[in-house]
Amino acid sequence: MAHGKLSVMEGSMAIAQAIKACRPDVVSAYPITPQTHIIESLAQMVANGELDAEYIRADSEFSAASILAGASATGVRAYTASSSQGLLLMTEVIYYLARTRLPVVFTGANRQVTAPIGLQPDHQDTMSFRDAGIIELYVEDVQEAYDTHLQAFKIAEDHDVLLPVMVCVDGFVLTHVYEPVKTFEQADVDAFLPPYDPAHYMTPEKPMVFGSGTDDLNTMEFHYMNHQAVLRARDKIEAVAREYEAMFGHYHGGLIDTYATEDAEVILVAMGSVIGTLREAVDILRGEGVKVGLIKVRSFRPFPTEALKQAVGRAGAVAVFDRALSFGFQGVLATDVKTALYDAPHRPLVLGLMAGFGGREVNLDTVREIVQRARRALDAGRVPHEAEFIGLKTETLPQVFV
Amino acid sequence: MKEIRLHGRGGQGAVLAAELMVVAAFEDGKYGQAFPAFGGERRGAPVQAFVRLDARPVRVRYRVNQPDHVIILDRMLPNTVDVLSGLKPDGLAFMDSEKSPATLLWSVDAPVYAVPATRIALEVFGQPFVNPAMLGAWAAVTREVSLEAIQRAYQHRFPGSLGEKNSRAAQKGYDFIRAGATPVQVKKSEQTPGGVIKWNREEVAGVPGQPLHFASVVAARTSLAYPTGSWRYSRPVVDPAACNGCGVCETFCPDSSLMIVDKQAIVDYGFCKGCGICAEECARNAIQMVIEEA
Repeated sequence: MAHGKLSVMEGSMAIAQAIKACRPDVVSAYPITPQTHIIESLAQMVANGELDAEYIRADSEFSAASILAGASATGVRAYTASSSQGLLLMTEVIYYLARTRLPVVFTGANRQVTAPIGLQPDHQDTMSFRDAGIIELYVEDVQEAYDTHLQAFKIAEDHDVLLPVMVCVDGFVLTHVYEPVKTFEQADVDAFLPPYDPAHYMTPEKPMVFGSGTDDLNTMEFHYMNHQAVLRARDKIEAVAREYEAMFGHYHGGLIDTYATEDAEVILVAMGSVIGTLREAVDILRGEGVKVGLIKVRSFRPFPTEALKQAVGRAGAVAVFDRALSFGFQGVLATDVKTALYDAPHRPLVLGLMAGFGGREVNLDTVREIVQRARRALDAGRVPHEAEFIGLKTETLPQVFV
Repeated sequence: MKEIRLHGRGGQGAVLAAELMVVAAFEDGKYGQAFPAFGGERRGAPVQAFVRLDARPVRVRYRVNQPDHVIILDRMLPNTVDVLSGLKPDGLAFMDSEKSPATLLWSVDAPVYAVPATRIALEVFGQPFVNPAMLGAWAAVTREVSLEAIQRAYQHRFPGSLGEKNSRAAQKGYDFIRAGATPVQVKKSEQTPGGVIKWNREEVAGVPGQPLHFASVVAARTSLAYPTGSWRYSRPVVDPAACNGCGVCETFCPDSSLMIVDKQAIVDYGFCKGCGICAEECARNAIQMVIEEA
């Protein structure tokens, strides 16, 4: 097994180190907080000659993504990072990359979407790509961020998959934290991640159109093929996570990870950097005799329907932490969890909890309150509201909304 | 687990100090986590950074609201920021100051070590880089991390002579405590640090104390609700005899904190951040930048 080196590193630097080790051929980006440290580090590596890549600073995120589409279409490995409005400005290209099956890897350094303008993390930006046809993986700490970027290219470039992968990393909380992280030797990474072997690419001698004209004759078929590819990625994500574990000794879950779920009456479901706080809370509550467990959704797309059903088991209530809202409906993750559990053998109550929007603190007391709400719902046999806003400061709202 | 909060101003190295505390602790065999308070920080603006140190990996990820230790890198900060907020009953504070901290504003009773970090920094660097001396003093009192690990963390971060100077400054902070320095027991002040920002010019949405506007609209001039004068390290002082009221300073002031009244430049110290552009631009050298004193 690869040994690696454990050292204290900023999250962004760890991600940049992972990307460097993946030997991208083209990096194109436009700076936006909080992902900027990542692309700054990569730019420095290219300037220093440590990374042999074309680094193209674009004039917008739309251009950066378009440059990567062009690069990837020539059959090379391509990477970018962005956040918030920057990701949204890439939206058109991200849909294009999915359907043209170009395996570009993105870091989505999560940040709330304007307006009002803010820098803090939630998942509204990256989860808006739910229906773009890409793969989205969420990570809980810097080690998982490092490891998942190494896995991302392997998943994206698999010939059964061939899809963009976005690794979603909570901005500031993970991009700007310094903590111990193990990084690995180039030779070990090379052994894990072979050079990109493109299935379809163009050269000056072999020109092609990526994104052919279509209509009512073929659009459904292209959608079907994209859908099947995302579904096939379910096995691939799990297999790559296990392969990584065998080689590097780290496993953070495949599609999901579970913690103390076996006999749990209440199960928390969440994604991203809040997971660490939830693990701590589960240990404390278990110590007090509360039967609570945790499911980390690592892969948001493809969605882990079967894995969730199994992991929930006979739990009476599932409390979903949502950092993205489908306005006029409910939390985005909660919606998917409910759909997945609709025909589960023991369908639990599902609470949809809006918590952590715009970086609003989720601490041990927040978790305690949420578990109490779940137990009250169990006692009552019903969930009071389909979307509950945790810690809403009603006193600051204009009179008409109170 | 020990939880530590650092208060400073943008540019003083609070975030750097937090990072190096974890690097040093890691070298001593501990796990840790360091992160800044997130936002659009600017030089001179009050900033915070957070550290957690433990024998096992740190999993929780939210601000340090109940610190065991508070490290204050700026001696004027306690009057504008509640630096001891949430300090645990047996908590300790460390502040860069040569004066007794007793006269500043404090929200709780607490022992505060006054460390002459600015003096040490001026001796060692010729510049007010206070963070190494503060970490040296903190290590001497709390024994959370060894002085050697802190020194190596600085040397690794700044190879060469700068690392050596940081190492020396950390040693001096450490020695100051080992020589027998004791904390001053500060008392909760009648006045609250920072206080409530008063906004009575107009009914304006989006400033503290007003309800949120339903469309996240904020009226013009809300910057008046955020007096930035406390960010200042030095203040512009106008010599009325030399000033002829030409208005160049007023034109160049990026914060409209300087205006010409009756052919004289008047500085609004409530908002002036002390950038010094007015002094630089004044053709008659009528403006001098003077270091602020607590």
